[in-house]
Amino acid sequence: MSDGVLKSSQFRKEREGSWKELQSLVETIEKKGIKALSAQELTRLPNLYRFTLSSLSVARGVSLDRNLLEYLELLSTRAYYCIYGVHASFGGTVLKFIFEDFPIAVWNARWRVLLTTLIMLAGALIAYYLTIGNEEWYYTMVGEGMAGGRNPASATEDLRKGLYDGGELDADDLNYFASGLFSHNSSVGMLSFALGFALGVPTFILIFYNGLILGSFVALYASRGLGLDIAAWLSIHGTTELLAIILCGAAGLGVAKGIISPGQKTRLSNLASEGKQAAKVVIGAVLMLLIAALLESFGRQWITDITTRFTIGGLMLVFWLSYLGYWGRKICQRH
Amino acid sequence: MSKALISPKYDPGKKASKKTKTSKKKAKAEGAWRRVITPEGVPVRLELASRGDRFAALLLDLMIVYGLPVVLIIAFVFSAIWTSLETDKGSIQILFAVSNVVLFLWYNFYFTFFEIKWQGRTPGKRALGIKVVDRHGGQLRSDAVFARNLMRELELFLPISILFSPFGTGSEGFTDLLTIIWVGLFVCIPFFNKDRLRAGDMIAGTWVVKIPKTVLMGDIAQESGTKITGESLIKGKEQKQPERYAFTDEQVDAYGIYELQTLEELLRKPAVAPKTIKEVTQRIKTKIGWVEPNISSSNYYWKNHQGKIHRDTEFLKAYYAALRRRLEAKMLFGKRRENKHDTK
Repeated sequence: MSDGVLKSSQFRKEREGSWKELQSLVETIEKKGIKALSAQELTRLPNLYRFTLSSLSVARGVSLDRNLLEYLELLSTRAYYCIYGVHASFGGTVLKFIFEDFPIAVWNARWRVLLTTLIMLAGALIAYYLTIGNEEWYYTMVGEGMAGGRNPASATEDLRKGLYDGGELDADDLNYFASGLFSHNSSVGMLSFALGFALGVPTFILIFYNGLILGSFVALYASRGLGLDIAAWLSIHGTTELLAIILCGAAGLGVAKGIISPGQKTRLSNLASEGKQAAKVVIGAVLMLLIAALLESFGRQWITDITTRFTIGGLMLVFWLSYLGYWGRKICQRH
Repeated sequence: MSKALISPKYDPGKKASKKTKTSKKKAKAEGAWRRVITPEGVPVRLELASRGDRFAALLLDLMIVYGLPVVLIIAFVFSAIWTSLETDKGSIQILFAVSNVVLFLWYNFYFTFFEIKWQGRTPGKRALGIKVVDRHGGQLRSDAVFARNLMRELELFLPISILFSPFGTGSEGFTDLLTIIWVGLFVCIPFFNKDRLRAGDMIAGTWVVKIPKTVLMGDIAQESGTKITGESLIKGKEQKQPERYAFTDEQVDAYGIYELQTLEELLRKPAVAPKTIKEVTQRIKTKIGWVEPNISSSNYYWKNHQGKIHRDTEFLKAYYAALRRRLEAKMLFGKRRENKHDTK
């Protein structure tokens, strides 16, 4: 005991080198990323990290040097940030997302998806019957900007032309049209997710309102004997687009559920797990909206035959149902 | 800090009230510190990023998000490619379409992209030395990053678009006002919870922390070569300069861990007023009943003021080493003496 060197000083002297080594590795990672490490350094990293953690545990028992304890603790924290950061390759994440995460998340949210669909349908039906009865309702439901000149004052012939006039547009216009549609729809979708945070009420309203517009729109055409035409026109992209919007709404309701009924867990931790699931649904829905925008601008404007429109729309619907429903359920059971 | 050593009189009756006062102070100072258990089962501390840091990081990021496209577009318009394309309507439209999608992705996934690529750091966060981590100590997954940044649609982009849209009059203005208040509530969430979580953090189970600075300073106990035990007191008198200080068991039992670490803090400070050093030394000497072992040999130090300070510091270092040895030895036997009033 009286050999002049404290036990804790001895302890420190023996291990200091490894701590410094870990610190320099951590600094490299923070500056240049984990790829800057050589293979050898990379294998050293977890060992050094665990070594430092165990040093910390021991130091808490043997040393009273506060700077040392603080150093070890903060170095451990810093190394821990590096080791438990995001470690996914972007490509791998995308593949796993498409084949597993997205279908699973949607399947788990199936009741919410059904509920959102019903809300939208309810909105559509109400608006349909109101507009069929009195065309004035159309102006209330569909905003001036949204209508784009398609209103009850238009002649039937103009309306019909609107459904089939795409053939004259060239590809360049459509490109622009598609990208504009995509960013608009995706923003709406993401917003309806984020609005779920306000207990889901705004999400509910947004979805219902979308249903109103849809119903009113269909009613206008149906009253002019263009019912089948509008259905075909909508179906080609609508099956994808409406489904995506519904999914975003369902995700918003998921977030709301996380706040309202936390179940066994605390509200905050439940919100965290629900939120992550819901975010997956929204990201998938954004991808769907991209497809929908392409279908809408190219497919819809170029393909003017009713049967072909129905076929494509139907096929897309079957595809989504089997991908999200059948495949999602299967993957879910496998896990 | 050095209150414990300096405090002139100690009234045992005031113990309770004093304790709560210090613990409250401590709680306030440690307000930003949180404990997290690593997956290895070792508790570590982390410091939450301040709201100011986060706001500054956000401003930086926003400057990049909105500024970079503008700069690029201006640069492009003045570049040669633009003049060669100007007459070609078709390719310009393709260009518009592509840039439309690219801009959409840039605006909406800038934060997500960098937080995945740079381990929870955007360029702004990186500049401020802060980072996103999982709240429960686990790994930060990409779905959490997506979730927390999708929420920005409500917390950030919606307020910005409201701010830059014309304000209506009459009933429309009233609706606008309500919208602003309503959205403002979400923006203000970080100010209403102690963990400084924004809505996105709540959704994703994350929080934003400061990346700690780690500096390992020298070992004070190693700087002073001293011997202490009961018998060495007598020996110490004959010994040379470095071993001038020897303390009895009673003398090193005068203080506890709290005082030891306060002393450490004092000794580690780069610049301390000579007066403080003198006062602390005087107080310790009085408390332990220190007798200068050999005044004549240390006369050299009395020559100037600087020498006196040096001598006091030497004494403090020696006492620190002795006290630490004593307390650490006790700790090894399972007795932690928290402070000088702890008489277990």
